[in-house]
Amino acid sequence: MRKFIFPCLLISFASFSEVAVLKDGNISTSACAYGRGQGAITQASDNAAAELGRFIKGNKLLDFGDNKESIDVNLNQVYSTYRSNILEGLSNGRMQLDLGQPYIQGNDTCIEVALNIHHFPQENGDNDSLEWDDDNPTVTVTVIGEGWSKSGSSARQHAEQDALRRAISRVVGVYLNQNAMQSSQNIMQISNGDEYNAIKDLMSQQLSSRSAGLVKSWQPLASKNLDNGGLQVTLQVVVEKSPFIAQSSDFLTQIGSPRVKVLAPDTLEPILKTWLSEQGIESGAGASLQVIAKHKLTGSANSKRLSLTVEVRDLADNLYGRWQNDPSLAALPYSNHVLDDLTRVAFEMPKQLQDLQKVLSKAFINIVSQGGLVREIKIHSNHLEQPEMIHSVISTIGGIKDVAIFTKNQYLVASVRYAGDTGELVSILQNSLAAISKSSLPNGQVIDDQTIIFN
Amino acid sequence: MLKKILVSAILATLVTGCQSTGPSSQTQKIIVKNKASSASIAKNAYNFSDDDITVPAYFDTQGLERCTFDRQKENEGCPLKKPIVRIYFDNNSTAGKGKGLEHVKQVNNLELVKMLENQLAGLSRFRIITRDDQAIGQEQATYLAEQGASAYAKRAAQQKILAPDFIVKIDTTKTVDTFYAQTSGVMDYTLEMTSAVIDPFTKEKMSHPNIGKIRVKSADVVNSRDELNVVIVNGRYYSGFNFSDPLVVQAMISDMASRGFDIFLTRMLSEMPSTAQVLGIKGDQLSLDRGQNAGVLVDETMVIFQYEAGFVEPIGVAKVTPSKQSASGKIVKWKNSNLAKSIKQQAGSGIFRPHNGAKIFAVSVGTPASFLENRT
Repeated sequence: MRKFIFPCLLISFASFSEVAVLKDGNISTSACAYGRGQGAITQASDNAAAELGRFIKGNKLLDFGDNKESIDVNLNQVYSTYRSNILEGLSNGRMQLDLGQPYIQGNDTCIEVALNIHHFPQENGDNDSLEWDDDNPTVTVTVIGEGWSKSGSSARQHAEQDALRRAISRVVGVYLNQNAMQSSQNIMQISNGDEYNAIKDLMSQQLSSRSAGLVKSWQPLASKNLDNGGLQVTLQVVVEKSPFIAQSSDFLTQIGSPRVKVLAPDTLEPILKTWLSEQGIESGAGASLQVIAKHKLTGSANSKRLSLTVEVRDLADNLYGRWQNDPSLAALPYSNHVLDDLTRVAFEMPKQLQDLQKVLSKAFINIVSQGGLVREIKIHSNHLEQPEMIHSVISTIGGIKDVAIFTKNQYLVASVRYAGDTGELVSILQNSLAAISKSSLPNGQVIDDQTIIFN
Repeated sequence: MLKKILVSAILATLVTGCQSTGPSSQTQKIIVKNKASSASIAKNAYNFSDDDITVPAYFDTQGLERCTFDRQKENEGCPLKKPIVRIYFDNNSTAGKGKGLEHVKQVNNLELVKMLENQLAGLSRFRIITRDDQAIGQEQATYLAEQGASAYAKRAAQQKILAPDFIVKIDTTKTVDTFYAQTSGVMDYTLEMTSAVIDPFTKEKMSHPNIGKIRVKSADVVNSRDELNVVIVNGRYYSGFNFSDPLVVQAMISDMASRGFDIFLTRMLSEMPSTAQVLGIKGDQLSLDRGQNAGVLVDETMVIFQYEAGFVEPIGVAKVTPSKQSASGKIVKWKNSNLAKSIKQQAGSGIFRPHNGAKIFAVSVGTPASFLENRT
């Protein structure tokens, strides 16, 4: 029975037209929804999909339109085999529907919808097998590294180092995706791909230098010669999770929740400090970072508006981030408490606070990506035997960047950026400077979080 | 006989030829009158004659295809997108040598602005940003006190104040004169209004809508001209119209402004008629694709016309009733034309829908009579 004809029976509903079976075996109907615009179109198309679902589910008879021609598709077979798939697809919205041009009918917007039975919902393919499984103490990744021989190391050594770096970087990516950023207490909330990449790069860079402590084992799977004496290796790397998590958390805490000093007018300070502490940022007097807030009332007596600015600066006044609220959002008539009212309102606006959070997060990332906070190391000239060597000595200290030397009064001052804490820097300096100082280099003193003095 | 006809024909040709070589005359001189302006409103559809069924100016045949129907993000090409405006009155420009000129200068223009805002908003030709900061500020403070900072912030963040596309600037000149008779004087106040739609960033004054000049005299707003009589003794008010009382003067100017606004609105409705597309005709019944949302007013008189390849052909005149986003109407009189007869015939035996590239539109002819009675 290649061809068959269903008797035509029109079953009408108040707001639905009949369902018609098209020549290609698809079925179509039109439906309307009150209103105009995308909302009404979506509603109408949902109504049509529901009607199609009811049609397939129920015992309705097919209407072939005006000509009542027989059709060339064995619908019985198609609809009986895939009936449940189609119904499921229609109910969860994954069934492909061909939408016609919407048209207006009085107050309603109508649309013709055809069900494409030749396209069934696709199962979601899982193409990335690497997942952060909390029950497993290790993560195994397969990576490719490339290297060329230079300065005494073989191509294989370089290729393996490259592969290990990539392995760490990949694990960092998975970790960031699935764990670290889910904490609401952590200010490091990634809002876009750029921030994600910046953090990932920084973290990969930091952790790759310590890959020896993180990689539990690795084994070569394949290798291939490259041009110019290069080598490509494929490694299966097993990364141990507990040290990785510990180091990652430290890193994120270091950049995401530094201690700050809040400088703000009286009306603003308590509310800003409370908000900062809710974000996991501790405030205190001796901090090396300053969060400086200012406010200003503008506008006529009937509509006073509040401009707020918050800046993140270090003690050397370098600016890392600046946020400004949108004063146009709220206006109140002048009163004795208008400043308090508008400040309270400003700190209740979710979008504005998200922006502030982003600015702070970016500022903290900025500090780390620039090599840490600026510190001034002041050394009394009397203590140095080879003052001309100070630049090269300080530059070789791990973690120090942007070294600038100048003299001020009796002191030789080295302005540097350092990613770690100040106390740690003092002990490193004590050892390094010993080589170019006279025998009696005194202990370094931390004046504030920015200044270290050897007096 | 043939000769006579030939001579007559030649003479006629010569006469016609002489006439055609004379000076052309396309303009004529008239005396410019300085009378008070009057309002003109649409005729009731039932009173239309066949010759009256012509297409009014400024119709717009843009369909709704490009509309998103999202009030805040409407497409530029959508006919439902209305310009957002803020209304300004100029500073008090006053003239004349009448008594009490100083009180005319003190008339509060902001009150007039609010009055015009209210009336113009109802036309649905513009979206208006109010300048009533006092009421808005008071309500916001109350909202904050009653609902709390969080609810206030949430709402304030969601709904931003509209940004104006244009400003509507009303320029006024207020004049006061006092005419002295034997025993008393007569006060004569005049209010002249012109309006401009200005792009505040390019400073361009738009050519449309062109409302022209509106002139209102004090005699137009009083029940009897005697109310304007005044007795002045030694240069001071004694009895009659109290030109020295600022409240009386404010009331008089407000009445005049109100009349001026009525005229303003009627002209606005003629300059910016509402146009809608006809989706179908069934018998005498019309179905239109837009209603209140496109500024169609209650009992609107609309001319129905077919628009094809740039040509318009009137079909009839209808009385239309809007609903929120569509409208229905009744063709009260069909045009005496072949097209109208054909459509009437087709609509008589089912629903007639425009096809083959021809579209049918309905355009309003001006302010409905009921609008002035019920809304002003």
